[in-house]
Amino acid sequence: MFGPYPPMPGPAADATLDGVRRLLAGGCDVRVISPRPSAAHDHADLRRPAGAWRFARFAAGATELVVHLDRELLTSPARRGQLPARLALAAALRSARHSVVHLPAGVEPGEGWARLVLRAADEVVSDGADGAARRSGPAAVAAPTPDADRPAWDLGPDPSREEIEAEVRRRAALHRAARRAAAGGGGPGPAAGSGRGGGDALRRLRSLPLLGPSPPTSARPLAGLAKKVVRRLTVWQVDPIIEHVNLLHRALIEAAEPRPEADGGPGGAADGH
Amino acid sequence: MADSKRLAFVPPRYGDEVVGGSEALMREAAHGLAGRGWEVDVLTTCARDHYTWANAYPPGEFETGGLTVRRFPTVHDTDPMVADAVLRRILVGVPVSAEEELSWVTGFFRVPELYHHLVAQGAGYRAVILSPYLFWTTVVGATACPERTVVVPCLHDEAFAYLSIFRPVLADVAQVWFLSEPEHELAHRLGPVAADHSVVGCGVPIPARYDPEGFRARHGLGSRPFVLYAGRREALKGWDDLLRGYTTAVTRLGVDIDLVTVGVGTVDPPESVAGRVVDLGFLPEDEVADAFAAAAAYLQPSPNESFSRTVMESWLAGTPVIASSAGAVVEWHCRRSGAGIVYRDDDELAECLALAADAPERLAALGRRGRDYVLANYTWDAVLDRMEAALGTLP
Repeated sequence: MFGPYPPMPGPAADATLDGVRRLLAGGCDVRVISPRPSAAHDHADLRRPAGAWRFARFAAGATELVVHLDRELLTSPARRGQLPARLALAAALRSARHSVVHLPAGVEPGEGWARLVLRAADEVVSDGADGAARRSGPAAVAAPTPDADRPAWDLGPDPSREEIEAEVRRRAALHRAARRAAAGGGGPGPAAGSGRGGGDALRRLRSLPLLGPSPPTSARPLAGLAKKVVRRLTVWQVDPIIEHVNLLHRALIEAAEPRPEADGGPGGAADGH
Repeated sequence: MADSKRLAFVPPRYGDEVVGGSEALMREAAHGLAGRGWEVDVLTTCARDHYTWANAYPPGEFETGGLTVRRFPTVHDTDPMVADAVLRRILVGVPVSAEEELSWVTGFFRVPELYHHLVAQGAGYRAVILSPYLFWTTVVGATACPERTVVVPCLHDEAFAYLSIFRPVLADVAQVWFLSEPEHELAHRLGPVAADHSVVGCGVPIPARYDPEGFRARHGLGSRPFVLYAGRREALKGWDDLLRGYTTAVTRLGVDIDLVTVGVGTVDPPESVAGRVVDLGFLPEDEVADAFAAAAAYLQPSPNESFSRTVMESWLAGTPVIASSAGAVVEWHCRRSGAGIVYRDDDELAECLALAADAPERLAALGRRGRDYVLANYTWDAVLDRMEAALGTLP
């Protein structure tokens, strides 16, 4: 659970504490992280890169991750300061088995938050001014509505591969058009398989392995020992950099991945980073 | 003086437990030609792991299955982090110098004893057959006795293939053997190719029988339909794309079909489909054959295939193939055989999966055509015939 926490006053801290009480009552093993030092187990200031990395490290692999975002973080004018927080949050949300993000009342998160963070969560809850919570899942960003009644396949009893492919493409095009219409976008949108340049960039990004520390080994015995000593002395400084580089790497891949709702719809514009 | 019936195969790794398409090709071709009366030496390294290239087998010579296998130790005397740094630049498309290309190739391992064996003894072979293009054993080995060197490059349309260090591997040797026409075309796009080259293909062993019902029973799959993926569960092999398309099919279209996967690597499905993705891990060859026979369709999402043995294995089992259009070689096989359909994005993959779930009988004829295609083109007898014909034209 991440969020403002007692002894900090205010409804945000109260909401986090309420959530913790519910989880404890359910027999969960709960770890609380707050933005500032408090009664929480740990603290991580998401406005700073080191704090964002610290949060990601604490939250990695949680069974259930609940994040209460505060108004200050979401509306901070320092855009550059928001990026490490978004990267860390997105990575932690994706690594959790189930994740929920609570937004404060009356705050509309910007495009960068929606695209990078909210899309990574399983549920997004807007805490209303009246105390009511309005839930939306990834449905708020992309609309997965199972279509149990699929139309019959327009194929003969022994179709050729060309006939099957043509029918598959026809049906896929209908779905794309329906999504665009639902999103309010106009025009035909990009055709299937278009964006070859973006596809190449994405493949190159995915092929790049994550960064790791250089192994402290050497064919020369004394050199290997020296490397081990140096590694121990510098791990506190080097590991956060490695973690941050890998977070950026994952975020770049996520940013480059095609978005279903981007066909003819709004969004896609950089938000100043 | 060259022995007209003596061949050397030079794979970077060799052994029954070594997994890889190129390694399987070299091993099976070596045994196949030995069975046809050729005297075959396998010259290889002591390494088993293609990540560390550490020496795992003892050096020396031994006989197995009619072959003489000689292992040479790998040497690691350069900083692998330098090679790793160059590798990362290559992967993202940053130009590297010729010197950096060489530091990358030599940075992971060298096998100087194998090279000098070729220098000293290479002239005694009818042909020295090297594969795949990417490793030190091929790049450097091709310079020992180029006038009798045959390269089986196993090219992919990837960043490495465009490096200048690999141009002599295709141009300055006696012969080049390709596994498919798209690979052949790619080689010509990359640069000059030795005048004597041909498409020989790759043989696929034919199982004597299939037991799909037994497979389902042994792995608790019941009667639910499933699509199959076999291979490395890695982004470079399209695994992430496959998972995304499968998730689209289940969550958006409500497609009721499971995904069974065998192989190595982390599966990591999204929570929304985790209950439908069955990871059977690494299975022995005969068990994998039964998996192909039990599946409604086989999925091949990889853009990086020089032949795609698993597609052939699927067709031999009579199972149709659903493949990504990003892979030129697999698309070529699908068009040529009439036995597979290709998709261009997640929506089309989702519809392909919907068809496999809703009307699998519409795909059944594709599977039958696929088996006919493999039996007509890619039995080991047919491939060995083509290899021997090519060897016959060497000076």
